[in-house]
Formats: sequence, structure tokens, C-alpha cells
Amino acid sequence: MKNRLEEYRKQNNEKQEDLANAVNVSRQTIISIEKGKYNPSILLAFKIAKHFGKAIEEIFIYEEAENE
Amino acid sequence: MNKAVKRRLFSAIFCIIIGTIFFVYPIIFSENIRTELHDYMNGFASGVIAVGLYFLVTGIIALNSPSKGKELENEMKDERLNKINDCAMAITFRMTLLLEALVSIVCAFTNNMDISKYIGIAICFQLVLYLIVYFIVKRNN
Repeated sequence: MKNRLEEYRKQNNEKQEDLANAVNVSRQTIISIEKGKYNPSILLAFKIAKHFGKAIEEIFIYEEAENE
Repeated sequence: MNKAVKRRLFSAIFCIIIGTIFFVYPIIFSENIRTELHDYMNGFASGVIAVGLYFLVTGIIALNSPSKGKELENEMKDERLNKINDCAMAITFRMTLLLEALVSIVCAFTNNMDISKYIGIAICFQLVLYLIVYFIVKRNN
């Protein structure tokens, strides 16, 4: 799943480690999400969205074709 | 002290105690223990104590450093790492079952019926346990 996580993180001047600590995951998980290798659970997606003060859809981009 | 650090230190102490018991027991009761069992217990004790020492060192580092403590806590709760662990365990379980079945069959054909029988019993036990756990997990989800 595509996402704009890296973009929002850099806008916030945050390191991956800071974001990881804020949402209680490891730094490797943040790296995997940013690269699109790992799709977070809905709970984690909500936590990330809340951290940036955005809606989930603004950060995670669902494209039906790629998820079939 | 966060939960992850407590758990790490508790695991360390537990491993060191168990390892020490396995190390000391053959020394105290050496007359009643065969050499092979003595060697087995020494090997087991060494492994468990090594793991215990690793847990102890990482636990103490995490205790003295809030950032390391937080990192340890995050790793414990991390959904991706837990998913990787569960997936790896599931694949290993499947592969182990196949391997055990293969060894059981080979033993049966090479006149090692006792070994074949015991492995067969172990396979049955694992499959029954798997079914029980499957239905418990299914009911809770």
C-alpha cells in the first residue's frame, strides 16, 4: 500500500526513531511501512494518523487494483 | 522500570537459576548419573546460562538507559515483529512435522521400530495440540 508517511514525517522534522517511539513500534517497522513493504493494522494506522493530526486516507493511499 | 525490562530481567534470572541447577545437579549426584546424561546436562546448562547472561546484560543496559528501555518495550509490543515471529513459528512447525514423519518412515523401514513408534506418538500429540489451539484461537477471533 502506498503512503505518504515519509513526507509527513519529514514535514514534522521527525526521525524514524521519534515516530516509532510515539506510536510504540520499532524503527524497523516504520522503515518497512515507509517503503511500502508492510501494511500496518488499522489500529496502528489510526495511531499514526492521530500523531500527525490527519485522516487515515491522507496518509495511506488505498488503490483497489494493487490490492486485488 | 517498564514491563519489558522487568520481563527481560525475570527471564534472565530464571534462565541462570535453571542453568545452574542443571550444571550443579550432575556434580552432586555424579554417582547415579551416566556419563552421557552428565554431558547432556552440561551442554543444556551452558546454553541456558548463556541465554540468561545475554538477557541479563541487555536488561541491565535497558534499565540504565530510558531510550534503550523504550526500544525494548516497543520491540515487545511491535505488531510487525510479532507477526514475523508467528509466521516463522508456523512455517517451522509445518516443516518439523514433515521432517518427523520422514524420519519415522525411514526408521520403520530400517528396523528401528521403537524410534519410529515414539516419533509417531510425538506427531500425533503435536497434531492434537494444534487442533485444540486452533479451535481456541478461532473461538476468540
